[in-house]
Amino acid sequence: MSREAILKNIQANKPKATELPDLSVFTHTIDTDTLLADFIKIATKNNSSVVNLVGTSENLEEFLPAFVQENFGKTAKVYNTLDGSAESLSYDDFKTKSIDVFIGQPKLAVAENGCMWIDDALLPLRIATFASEHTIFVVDHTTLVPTMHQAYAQIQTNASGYGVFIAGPSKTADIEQSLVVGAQGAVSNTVILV
Amino acid sequence: MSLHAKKADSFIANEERVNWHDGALWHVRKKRDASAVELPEWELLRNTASKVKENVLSHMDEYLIQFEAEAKKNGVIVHWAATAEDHNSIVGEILAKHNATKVVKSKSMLTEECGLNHFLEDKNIEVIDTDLGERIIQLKKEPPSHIVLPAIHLKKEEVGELFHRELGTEEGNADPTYLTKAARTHLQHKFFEADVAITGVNFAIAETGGVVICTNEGNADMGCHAAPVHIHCMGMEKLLPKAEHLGVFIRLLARSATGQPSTIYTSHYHKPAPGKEMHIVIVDNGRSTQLGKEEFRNSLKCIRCGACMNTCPIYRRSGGHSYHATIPGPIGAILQPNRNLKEYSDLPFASTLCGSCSDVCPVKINIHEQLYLWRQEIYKNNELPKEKVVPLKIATKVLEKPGLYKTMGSLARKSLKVLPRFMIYNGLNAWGKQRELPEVPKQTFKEWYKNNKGNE
Repeated sequence: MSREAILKNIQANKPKATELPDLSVFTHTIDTDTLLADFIKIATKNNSSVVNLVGTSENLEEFLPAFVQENFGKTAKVYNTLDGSAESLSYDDFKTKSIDVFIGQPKLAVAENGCMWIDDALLPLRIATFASEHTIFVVDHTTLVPTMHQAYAQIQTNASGYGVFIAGPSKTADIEQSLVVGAQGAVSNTVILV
Repeated sequence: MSLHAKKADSFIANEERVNWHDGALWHVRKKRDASAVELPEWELLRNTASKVKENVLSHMDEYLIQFEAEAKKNGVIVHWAATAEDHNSIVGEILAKHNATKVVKSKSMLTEECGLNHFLEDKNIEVIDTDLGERIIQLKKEPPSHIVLPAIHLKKEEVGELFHRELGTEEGNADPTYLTKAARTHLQHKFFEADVAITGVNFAIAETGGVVICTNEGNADMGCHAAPVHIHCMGMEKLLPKAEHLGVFIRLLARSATGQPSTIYTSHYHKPAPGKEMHIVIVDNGRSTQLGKEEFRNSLKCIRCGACMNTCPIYRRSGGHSYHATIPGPIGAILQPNRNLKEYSDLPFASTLCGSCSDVCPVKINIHEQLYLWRQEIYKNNELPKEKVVPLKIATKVLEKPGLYKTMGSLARKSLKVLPRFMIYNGLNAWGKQRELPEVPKQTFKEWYKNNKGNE
């Protein structure tokens, strides 16, 4: 059997055991205002549109439908994981490419690179955030962490069967290094900070 | 002439194109630099990553056993492949079990290494590479020329022509946005038609039994979430001990590869979605043997970022295809000889040994030192070509005897001045093919030193 042969060969060939390095040196404390400013900067650089409602009197429940209507049209078909309406939509709705907008709320977001964590618990249908034409993420600014180290300390990658960091709309530069936003995943992403 | 030199010869025939290729890769290298200096702890991250991988190499068997047990607990079906052939037949059997005729693929370097596409196509299975660059070269029936930028050697006009022929885009339209949209439409259909999705793996976590896949295009996720079955093929060196180590590697990978702080998607697969099936194929294919070579095992730390290619003066000017290997560039030149010393004995010489590759490597592989060590292995194994062996043997004889060295030196200084060009610049002088020999000095250094001693 391959398994036994491979393991036997590894045991015969592996080097002397070494210890794992210390990772605590990478933990930083950064104030919320700086995190927010850094996150907005990098999200914008990653081609997301950023709407900052922090410190405003906007009410998300009123703002969101108006925003969708204004930006994606009155007839836009929306997969909204925040209000429970997503439950009526299935895989077939994505297969026929009829979903225009995905709305979700990540568990946390990372200021150094714009990554937003979403997993099975927040994403009833895994394909939803990839096969929707546009995505909107509502980020609670108090969930911002400075780096990936702190993000991994807070999420549990195997808390559910699948989880993903998303840092913007899909993109590619495979043709002559020219950046094109909108590759195989969503073609646009909006981050709404609350 | 070595195979690398021969293939490079045809690439450099078009000077304008070489300069363009060189510039495009150097641009990526500069983006990497800008991104690295943003992190004051960059060097600490590289050191840490290197140490984590060292620990992985020294506990590889234990981590693999742990990884398998955790993955099984998650409901994942785990397979072990000792060779490329094993890998292909395992994938073939999974497809046969599901009567699959259509497959979408992403993150393809390992499956390229194993020759999976040809294996499946021979069984009349449609295999579609879904990364845009991969799809371009698949349609062009070429191998990738770079591990992160597979179509970096092609001009947009060539892609436009290819897409016009293969995907029916407008003739003469070479706009990257237009062409990317056309590929998007083409691939969206393929994702939903596929019976099985196959992906490579960036990282695998022993502690949790999950695999991590990083893309910008979202193609791996589209494939896995659209198809009822997904298979993740991983080289066994992709392991990391714990999820917390991902923090180190995710920070390094994209910054080193393209200068982005992270890829757009960093996906963690632990369990199949309800009603679906998830497989992981652990591939050895020579890796466990390489682990036993003390001087060369460090190359197993590689995370396939491509930084060494972008910085390499030889790669940038000779193109990825000149390496006639799945993995080109400096890292390819130290990985491939592990597999087949005879076939790849030319690659460790495709380097100036400048060390830039080692300087940018995020896991601190001593690439240029290994290139030098491979040259010695190649000599010991009698795989050095005659045009290198003969001059080296002559040089050894001459340098061994100071008297002979003196005579030969004086002979050379005299004869090079008077000999006709054809006697000096001919097939025997590979160095002088595109270069002029330096001007012959009037005296030797020894003579100069004698005359000048004491005049400080």
